[in-house]
Amino acid sequence: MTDVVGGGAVGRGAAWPEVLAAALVGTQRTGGDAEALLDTVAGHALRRRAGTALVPGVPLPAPAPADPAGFVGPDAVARVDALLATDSATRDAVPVRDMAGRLELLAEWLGAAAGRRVPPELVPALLDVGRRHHHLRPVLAEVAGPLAHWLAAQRPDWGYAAAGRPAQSTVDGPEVWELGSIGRRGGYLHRLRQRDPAQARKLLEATWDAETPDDRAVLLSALKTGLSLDDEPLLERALDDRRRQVRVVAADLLGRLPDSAYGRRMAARALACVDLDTAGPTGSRTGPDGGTGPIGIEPPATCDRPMRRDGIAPRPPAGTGERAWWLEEILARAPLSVWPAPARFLARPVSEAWAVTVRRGLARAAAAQHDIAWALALVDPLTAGVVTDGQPDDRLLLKALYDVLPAQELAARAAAALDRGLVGAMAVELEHVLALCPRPWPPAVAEAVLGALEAHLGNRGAGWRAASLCELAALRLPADLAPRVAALAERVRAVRPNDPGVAFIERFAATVRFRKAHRSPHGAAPPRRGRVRARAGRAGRR
Amino acid sequence: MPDAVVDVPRWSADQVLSLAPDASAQRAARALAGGKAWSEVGFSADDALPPTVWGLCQGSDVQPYQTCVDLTEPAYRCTCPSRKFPCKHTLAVLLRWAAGTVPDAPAPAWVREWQASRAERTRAYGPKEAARTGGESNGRAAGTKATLRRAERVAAGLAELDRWLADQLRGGLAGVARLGYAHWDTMAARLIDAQAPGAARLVRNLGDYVGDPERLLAELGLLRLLAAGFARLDSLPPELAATLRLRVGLPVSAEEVLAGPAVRDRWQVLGVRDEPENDLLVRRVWLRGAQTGRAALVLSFAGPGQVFVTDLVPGTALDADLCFYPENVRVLIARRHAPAAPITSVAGALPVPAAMREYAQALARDPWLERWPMVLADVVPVKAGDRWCLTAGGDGVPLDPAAGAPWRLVAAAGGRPVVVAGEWTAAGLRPLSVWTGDRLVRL
Repeated sequence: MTDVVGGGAVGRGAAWPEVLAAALVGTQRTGGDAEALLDTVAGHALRRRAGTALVPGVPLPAPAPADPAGFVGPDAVARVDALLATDSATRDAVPVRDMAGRLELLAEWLGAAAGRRVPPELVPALLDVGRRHHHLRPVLAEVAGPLAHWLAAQRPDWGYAAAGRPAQSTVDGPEVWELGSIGRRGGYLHRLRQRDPAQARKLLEATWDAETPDDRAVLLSALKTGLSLDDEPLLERALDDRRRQVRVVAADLLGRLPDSAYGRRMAARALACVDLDTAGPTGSRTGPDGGTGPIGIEPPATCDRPMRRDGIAPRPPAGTGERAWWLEEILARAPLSVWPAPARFLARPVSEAWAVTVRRGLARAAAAQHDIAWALALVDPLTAGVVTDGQPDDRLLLKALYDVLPAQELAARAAAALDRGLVGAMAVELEHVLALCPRPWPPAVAEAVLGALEAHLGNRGAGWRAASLCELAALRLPADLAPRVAALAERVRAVRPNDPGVAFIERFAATVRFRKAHRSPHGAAPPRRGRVRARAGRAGRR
Repeated sequence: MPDAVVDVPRWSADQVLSLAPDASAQRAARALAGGKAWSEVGFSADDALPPTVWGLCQGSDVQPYQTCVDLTEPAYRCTCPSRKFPCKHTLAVLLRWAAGTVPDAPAPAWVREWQASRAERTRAYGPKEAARTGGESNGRAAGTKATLRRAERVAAGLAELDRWLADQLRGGLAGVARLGYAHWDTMAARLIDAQAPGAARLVRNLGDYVGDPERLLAELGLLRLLAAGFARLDSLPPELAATLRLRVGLPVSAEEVLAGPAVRDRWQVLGVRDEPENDLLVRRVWLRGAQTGRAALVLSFAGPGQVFVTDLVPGTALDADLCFYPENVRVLIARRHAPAAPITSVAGALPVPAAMREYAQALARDPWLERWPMVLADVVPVKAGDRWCLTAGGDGVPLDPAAGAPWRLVAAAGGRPVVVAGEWTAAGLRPLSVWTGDRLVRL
């Protein structure tokens, strides 16, 4: 065989690029012998593989800063590994499937770590969690240690964890305001409001007229953070906006500012409808709060233009009279400070025709203005109303009131509701109350929940109400109650053996057990037989 | 049988749980291990009995389940009806032993009977391990005539492959990109018909490289080596000839392999990698001899729903005799001298140039070597341009981009030199485990 066969042919000693070119085109066109080319290829292939090109001149990176903190124990590592796992086998080691529940477990685990660190190889997974779940970032940073900063510097996605940034800051800089999508611009504005409300408002005012109506609604709602009377001019302007959504947001925000002109307008309307000045049965008149007699109600006769401008919807929902609706709307938006103290107000009789409307209006106001005193005064009568006729609207309103109540009040109500039985308790949005209770639940709530479950499950075994309560209780019950939950599961198993319908109870028990394990998880690894370990805590994955 | 074992190194809980077929078995075993269901738990080892742990566990049956484990292999037996293997009772009794709560005690009769029947079977059929991971067998039983006929068919098939390879270069590779997988599958099917499954697999894989002409061409070149080499098999050195026959797909039975010389060493488990291949899951466990420095590969297969039965856990070492296949990497475990024991450092880690040299030597013995276990000493993972690599300063060993960004490895190393064990392929290194100090991290 000769070295060069034909015009374009490639010989034995040809370099790889020529060989490759010839092979791509084909010997039919380049001329030459395909088999000879194949032999050349074989030689090259083996040589190239044996001498695989390394990447030349790679500089060593700066090492991560030394971290004197100790590591969590091996059992704790196994659990957090399962919580963070992406592969299904490891994931299944955690009894909770849904993402939100797993995050709660993770948050609890992280909270219990108490200054100790996770093994370094788990830090990337933790940083990934923090990308989406901002509220976990401070605890994540604590458990990940300085390694997190070092890693964050290498990957923009983790930029939030980079050294020198406050734990809550994000990767979005001011350029997002100019260039970002509406979601990110809203987020940016929201964060700026937290730091500097005036600056954020100025930013929005500057571009207000150029924004699209949809964007105006989104961006305006960011003012909810750090709302003050300084925002009034912009909000008043937004009340005249052509787009309804923008007007709704503006009216809602103005309603939260009792001293605004809007608040005064609403107060005037409210006082025109509600006559506090009637004398009591004794005819005595006491102080500025008016009399003690029945409260006179005179709903508005029309919904005029200024009322509509202030966000009062002229058309009532189906089943509600026009005038009652307008009254409710006015009461819901009027500052609660115009009324006497809740106890005094509510003690006075109201004509039966308007009592429900007045209560709803005031409850809406209490929820919107986050007025704890009013919410407390209204929540129990409203609960009673929901139990007796259970209007869907009233249940929503009840949930809104629960959002205002302080934790210990919620706990007391949850316990009281549960004492009346599980079914009745679930009817008054108890799950919402329980979800708002501090976690883990205070002893009174935990006792009440467990008691209700024991009473309900002990004889009947299941039911969807119990299932959804168990799902919540699995994450919120104090983990020390694990033995009692296990005993409950045992009893249910005895009542309904082999029933897949009660599998949720097993999951409930397993979850509480899982959590109990990380009550005391973070101690160092016990020293293993025969070998003294310098860093006992690092036995991680051995 | 080992002589009176005085002290069997205790396993770690991790090692025990790695035997579990799934996570639910792990959970069940953990719960059961601490429970009160156990009676008559004990450990015993003497001249007649390999190290064995046993226990009686009260389950839902009237009779308690008899559970025992031979620690050398390990082999399990439990009278429970569970179809999981090993079952939760087996794992739980091992966990108790790992936790140090199992007393030494004379073995009851049922344990001795079981071990005796196992010893009987071993004598009758040869080591169980070999049967389990042996791959094709019975090659010789069919007689020399069939063997001859097969050799002819294979030779004809490979001759056709050789012509086909040349055809690809005549037409030019630029054109084949359009042809799709069927183009390669047709030739692969013909090689299957010719009873050359090894060559068929190589041809079928060509379809994956259509987007990468350099790789495709290199693979064609290596196939040419295979076909041309087979044509003059008799003139090749015997070792290379045997390797070539194996790569073509001529069967080597487990008996033949086990008949070869055994290499005893403390075999360190470097890493495990599971990959789907056709309908099977293939598990590759990479070993290195602590004294001999030899690389070894234990291959096992699991069908859908099956689990791997293996106690080869990274971070442990196994004192055993291994028999090598002709290509000098794949092995069968001929005999275990002791159960796997944890290790705290890895032997035979090489600097980058030496590791690459070692690979080149392995390639010289077997040009069709697709994977090679590499243990790199004191390297740091770094991103150079758009490629991750491992470096000790200077040249970097590229990582296989298909393995994704190695953040776990980067975090474990923290920018400091670590020992990395991985699988070297033509696309780059796939890291499997990393040692930082005396700590092993699986990747």
